[in-house]
Amino acid sequence: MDRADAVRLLPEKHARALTLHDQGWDDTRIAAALEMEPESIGMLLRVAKAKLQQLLDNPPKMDKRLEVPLDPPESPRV
Amino acid sequence: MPITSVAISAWPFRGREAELALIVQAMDDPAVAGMVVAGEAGVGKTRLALEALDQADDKGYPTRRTVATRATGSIRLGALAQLLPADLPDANLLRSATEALVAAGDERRLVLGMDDAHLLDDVSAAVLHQVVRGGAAFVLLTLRSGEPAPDPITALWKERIVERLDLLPLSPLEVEQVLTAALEGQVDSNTTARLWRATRGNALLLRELVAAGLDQEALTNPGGVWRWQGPWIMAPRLMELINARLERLDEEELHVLELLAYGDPLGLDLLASLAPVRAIEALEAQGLLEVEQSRRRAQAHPVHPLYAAALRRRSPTMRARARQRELTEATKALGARRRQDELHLAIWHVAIGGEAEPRMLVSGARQAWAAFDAPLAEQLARAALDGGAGVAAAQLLSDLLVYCGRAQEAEELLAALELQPAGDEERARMEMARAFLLFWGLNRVEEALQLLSEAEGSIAEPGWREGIATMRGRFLAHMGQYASALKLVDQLPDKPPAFEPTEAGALMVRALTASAQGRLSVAAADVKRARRLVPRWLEEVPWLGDMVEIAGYLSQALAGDLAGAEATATRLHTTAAQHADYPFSLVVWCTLRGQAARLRGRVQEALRWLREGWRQSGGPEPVGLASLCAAELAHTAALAGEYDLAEQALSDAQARRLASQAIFDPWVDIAATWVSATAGATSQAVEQALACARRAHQTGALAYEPIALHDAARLGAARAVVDRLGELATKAEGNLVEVYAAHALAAARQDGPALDQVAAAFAAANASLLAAEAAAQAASAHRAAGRQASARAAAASSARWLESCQGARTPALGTLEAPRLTPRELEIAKLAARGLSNREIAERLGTAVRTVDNHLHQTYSKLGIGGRGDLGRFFARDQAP
Repeated sequence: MDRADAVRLLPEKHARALTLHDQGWDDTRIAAALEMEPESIGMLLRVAKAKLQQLLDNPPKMDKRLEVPLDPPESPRV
Repeated sequence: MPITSVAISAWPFRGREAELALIVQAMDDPAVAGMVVAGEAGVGKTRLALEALDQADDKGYPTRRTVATRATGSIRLGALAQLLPADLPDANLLRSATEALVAAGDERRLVLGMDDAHLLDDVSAAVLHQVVRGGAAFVLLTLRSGEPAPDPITALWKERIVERLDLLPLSPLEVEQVLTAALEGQVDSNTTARLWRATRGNALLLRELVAAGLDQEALTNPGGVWRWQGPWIMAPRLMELINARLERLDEEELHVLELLAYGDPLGLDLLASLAPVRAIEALEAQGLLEVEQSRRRAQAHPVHPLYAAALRRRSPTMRARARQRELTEATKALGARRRQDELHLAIWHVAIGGEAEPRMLVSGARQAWAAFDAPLAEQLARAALDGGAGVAAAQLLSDLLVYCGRAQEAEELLAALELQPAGDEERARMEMARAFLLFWGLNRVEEALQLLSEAEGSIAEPGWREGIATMRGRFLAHMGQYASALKLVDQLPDKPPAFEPTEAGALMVRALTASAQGRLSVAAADVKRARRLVPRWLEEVPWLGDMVEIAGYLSQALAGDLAGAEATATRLHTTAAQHADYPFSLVVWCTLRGQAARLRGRVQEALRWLREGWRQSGGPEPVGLASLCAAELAHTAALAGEYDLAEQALSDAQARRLASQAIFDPWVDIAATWVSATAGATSQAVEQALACARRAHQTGALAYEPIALHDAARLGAARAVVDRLGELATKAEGNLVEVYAAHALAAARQDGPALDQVAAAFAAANASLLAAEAAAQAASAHRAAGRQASARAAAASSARWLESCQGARTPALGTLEAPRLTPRELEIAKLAARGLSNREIAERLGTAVRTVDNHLHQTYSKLGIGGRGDLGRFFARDQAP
């Protein structure tokens, strides 16, 4: 999974904050764009980066427990 | 044990791992005095704080926790009372309370949790402020965002004495992770998307909705995939949660939300004509209403669809009718000029009765279907039929029922109609509805064709005759009678038709036949032209978009543009997952997304989508690609080593083969080959592959012939197919046919270097499993020729490509003796490939430089490569998208 794909999987505000940060915006401008407290942007970015790293390190994939045996669907009617 | 609401009381902690790790990290840092976790009600603040306190306990920190409430907020030191001695002196109260709290740490750093800190009384807030400032404790506060908090608490983050963490609602991916863990099984994508949209990622609403769904059996997993069917269950506990929020609204604000509950979205001008702007703004500020600017029109939506459902649930009938009457009158007063107004008026008319134009009801039904809201479209189409809309409503309703897998009901509907079609248009529409039902719903394909032929002869108006001819062409194409289909649409006059969707229908026939015949550039061009027509005819023929995109997907997949095909299928599947109760699209795009993943070698991912599609295609027969879905599941399960499932699904695919879906039969034949092959019946599999190639040739499905021949080569019969594949390579279109031919030739000659090139070509085309197979064969050929280093390198390449195939196994891989790197070797090799020096790697991994040297030498030897530069190229090969 590339970084852009991973960013798209983040919660919307995390994705927007990271994108704006990557574009060089400072915390005050990011806070205004996201309608948040400026004091919370630092932590918001840290959480966003941590979530992004998780996605890059472990891209979402099949959980082994999902591999449950399936009953066949009902017989075709036609 | 069945999962019940009781069992899910241990709701999994998912989607908050990053936040938890940062809190625990802060807790361990003596320089950080605390953390404020802020967020909306129900977002999961308390659960996060509890998890953090548990970790603090595990780490040996002394912990204390208390909760502020509205009741304790009116009492001095109310929230802290349980943590403080009863005999605190009144003099120097602040200091005494602060010291008493810090003393609870017993000279270690106390971790103090305080829930709902915005409700603290002023003295408790001041004490907490002092505790934080003193630095002897780590304070973890939660507070509801948007609520005023006492100044000493606000000052904590405003003055940056503590960090503030805003806890956001769960993303769709996080909701999927939570649901999968809570329900201990796969959840279908439509259900995940609906639950996310309904709750907007609010953890508490999600949990309560799931609990209600389980209790009322709206959320079930009869075959292993969880699925929500029907409307939301507004259980008492869920209603309580929502009512608690709604109670804080004033009458005018509640009025606005009630209007939105019956009309979502509403134009802002309409809403403002019925309610004060102040109330609209207040709701927007509270996050309960959002305004979207679409073109030149601003539209208001309720942010939480569940709130709208709760308001509808609790509104007495008369109040509900009054709101809908208000909306009806206001819409008419504003001129009802927009298309969407017709849909709203139709809905409100059905709810409150009264006079309604049948044309408006038909228009509403068409719009609802175009938005893939099948239940609403059905309701409005029935109202239109009852209201005298005649043939137009009957055709719409019958087609819709067929698409929803209820052909029997459609048959009864058409049989019971006592309509006397007036004129060619109505006669054409009725015959088309009957033919549609016979062909797609009842698989009586010859009767359908006969009916259309007769209709063509009896209808004088050329436009409608052409429309009927196009429908016959589509049927023939789907039956695999490509030449006849093409001949029919090619006879249509080259001028704008009277029934204009005919143009798109004819393009679709051309694209489908061209794909199957291997004229892939023609197919792609026709799809491109048809795609431009889709938006214009979305309401007249809502299924047109899916059909055009299926043709587009096939033209990409058969041309070997696997990344493009997967992107198409993923995009369409994501859209289909948003549509409630419309299984057709979901089955189609689960199937094709699964197939695309299988073609790229990612078998577990493919299984996920195919299981979901197979489950959705059960029960009443939808006009999804049920046979293709089962066949793809069989093929993929065989590659994944799930032989029982493979045989079961193949048997289902063969039972579901329909004459109306013969266009997809080659995929069923290909699946049968691989089920035999992976079960060890290689000779039989080769025979099946060769028979599939012959059938494809005889029926004109020329795009499938090289695939089937190449399958035979993969199964060891390269000599038998090399000449024909070579011939096809000179004239067939597509990225892969030449590589198939080169593969067969190289395999037949046991030509190691040529097989290396083939493997690289497959990898470049994103066909990882084929690349791994060719590289495994290359390794074998090199070894037989005594080229041990080349053999090791090829085997290593094969193993690396195979890594992305999620456990796929095929006979060609049986020869693979791949050098397996240990996890440590792999880790070091990847860092070296990224350009880190041995010293940097050693520092990063906390090991000696000599150890890194040794691991790298071992790796070079195993991979049969010369050094660091080769390592870079080796890993770069795996980065293909």
